[in-house]
Amino acid sequence: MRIRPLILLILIVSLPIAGLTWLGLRVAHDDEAALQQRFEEVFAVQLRDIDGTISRHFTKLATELRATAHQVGNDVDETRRLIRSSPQVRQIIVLDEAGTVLHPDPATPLNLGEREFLNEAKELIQDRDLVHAAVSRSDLSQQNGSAQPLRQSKLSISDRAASGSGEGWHVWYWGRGVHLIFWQRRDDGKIVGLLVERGRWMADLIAALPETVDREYDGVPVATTSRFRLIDSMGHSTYEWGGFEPPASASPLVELAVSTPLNSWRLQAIVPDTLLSGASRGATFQLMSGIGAVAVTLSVLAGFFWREYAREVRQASQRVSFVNQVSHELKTPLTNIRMYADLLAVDLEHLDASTDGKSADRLRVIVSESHRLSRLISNVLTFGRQQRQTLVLRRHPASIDAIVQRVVEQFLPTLERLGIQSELELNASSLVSVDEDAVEQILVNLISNVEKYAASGGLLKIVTNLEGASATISVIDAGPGIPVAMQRAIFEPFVRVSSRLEDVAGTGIGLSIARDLARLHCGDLRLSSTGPGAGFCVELPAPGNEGTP
Amino acid sequence: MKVLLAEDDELTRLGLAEVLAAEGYQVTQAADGVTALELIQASPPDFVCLDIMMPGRSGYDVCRAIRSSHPDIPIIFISAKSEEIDKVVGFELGADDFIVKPFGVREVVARIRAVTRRCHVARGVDPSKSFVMDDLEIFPAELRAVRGERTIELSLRDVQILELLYRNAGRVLDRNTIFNHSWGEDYFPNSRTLDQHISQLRKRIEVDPKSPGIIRTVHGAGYRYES
Repeated sequence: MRIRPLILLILIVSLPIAGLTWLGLRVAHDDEAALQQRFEEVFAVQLRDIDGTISRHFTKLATELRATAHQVGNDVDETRRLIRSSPQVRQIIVLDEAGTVLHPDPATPLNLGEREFLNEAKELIQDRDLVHAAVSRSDLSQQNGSAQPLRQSKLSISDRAASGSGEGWHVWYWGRGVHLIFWQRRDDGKIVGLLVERGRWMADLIAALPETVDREYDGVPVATTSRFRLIDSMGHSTYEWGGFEPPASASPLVELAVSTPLNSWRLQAIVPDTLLSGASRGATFQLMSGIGAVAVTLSVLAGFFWREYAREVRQASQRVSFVNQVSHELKTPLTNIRMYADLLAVDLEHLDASTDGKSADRLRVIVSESHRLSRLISNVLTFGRQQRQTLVLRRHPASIDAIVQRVVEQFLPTLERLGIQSELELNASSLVSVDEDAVEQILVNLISNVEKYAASGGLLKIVTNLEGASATISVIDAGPGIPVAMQRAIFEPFVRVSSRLEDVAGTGIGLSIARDLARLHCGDLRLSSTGPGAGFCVELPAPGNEGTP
Repeated sequence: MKVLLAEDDELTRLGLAEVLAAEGYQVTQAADGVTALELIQASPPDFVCLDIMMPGRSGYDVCRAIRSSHPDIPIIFISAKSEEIDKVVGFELGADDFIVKPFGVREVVARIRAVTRRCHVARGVDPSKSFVMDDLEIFPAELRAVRGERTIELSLRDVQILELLYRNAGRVLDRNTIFNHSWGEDYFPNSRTLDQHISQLRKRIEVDPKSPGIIRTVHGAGYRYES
């Protein structure tokens, strides 16, 4: 019986904690995601800034190269001198619209650099990549930056010019790396391409990139806790900066494609995992400690209530067992009082009849009072068993009429003293299967009530009947009856019609016990008449109607 | 007929012993379970009245011990524990009846007479065997007498007295003879005890107790039955 409240208590405690934890974890997870997003945004801004720096660097380079390109004329020596005087330019190529190389003209004697260049640029010239790029710049075919561009030309155009003329960057992979060609298309259809000195532009680019980043995020200096990488089209890190040394497995928090001309390059920002988890761990810790505090409080409260409840239950059962113990203890002296009173009665009968009936009357009072005390004790014990749900019937064949007669006989001295006339209409002498003690207790309780509350009526009428498979016993009096308001409540334990001190004493369990005993027989106890006088009807389905005795 | 009475409350024990003795039984008393078992081993009684809650060994223990050595001795439990479980345990242990405290003398008498009848049947006494005194038919094993339609309950002692008078019909039996036969020799005689008993018996069996037809007084000598 005590396992159910325990489970309930555990549920009451654990459900809110589980709910809170779930909610807390969700909130923490959302917080972490939000935090990550904020970090990403911050680093994306930084990467865009860096990309801006790179972009500006190439814009500046383009300006310088444009000036150089304008100086390219038809004179070979002039062009060679221009190359020598321009540190950023490694070679110059001039093509006509058909893709024919005008400079360096393979038909003329070439220096070492020009030969090497033509050799390496053979495919570029044969495939007419540069011409296509310059001519069809309107279809800005941005080929993707694949990782195996060794023999593949990359087309990237900065479309700033009006039709007919224009300029742009052509990215060209050869050997072990990227090569940039700045091209210019002149109105006469000639295309001038300047191969930018690779070492030079890369060194300039790196010089333009920051050594450290001075930004701070929420008071944490980002520079020392992050790492920026410039990744080339081969996926190799070309340059990196920042105080953080990421492990080999670290993946970037944010990635950004570099804008023209290094389209296939990427910028990455890498931050330590601890930066993200550290920040969210603070929030999670706070949340969890809050939940923990709630859990501890709830558990302590639950423990407290459980202890109180257990004590209540223990005390209640101790009270019941105490009452039972006392009732049993009362039975021993009561046995002796009854037995010795009986013995005394026998002795009195043996005495001379000359003594007046006074002693016998007094003895009868002792006997009837001891009967009353036994009835009270058996009511208390029955009530205790009812509370512990150990009330079980033992059915035996018995005559309802015989039980009624026996009980009424027990009450006769009291009834006579109170001037109550008893009328019996007994029509249930057949043997039926009932618990004799239980039926007796029902009757005793009903007659006790007549004796206590309806003596003024001067009448006790008991009618028994056997109809079909059920026996009925009606106990009727001519007393004040039962007020309408109380008609339901009187069957509840401890309910009494009047509890005023000047009224009749009683425990208030009699009718409750009587009805329970009737119901244990699968029958019932009902109020059959409400006034004038009260009437109670006991119905007892009586299986095994075993014929007349 | 010998009865062992085991009950720890002295007053209850003495009172019950008096009731049993008045019924015509020879009562041996024990105040606890251990004594009760010793007495039973020394001299097995015809039946046993056992209290359940006793110091030393409980009534249940004693009952079990009796059942293992003397399976035929009827046992009546006497207890304040009226709860169903107690009754069931008692009956399962082989109790023949159960008297619940507090009890009245009449209830005890009725139950003991019922057990006595069963004892007689168990010993093979024919319950229908009877003898007739005047218009009264007496069934000794049944502890009953019948006059016409009326059944009269008799005690063991009543039956013993009536049997003695019947067997000595026509002869005057002095008080000592009746006393020795019906009360036993170790009972301290009290002249009034027998007279009172006869007077009570007459009230029940005689048609007119004032001028008795079955048990007649022979003044100065004793009692006599004329067939």
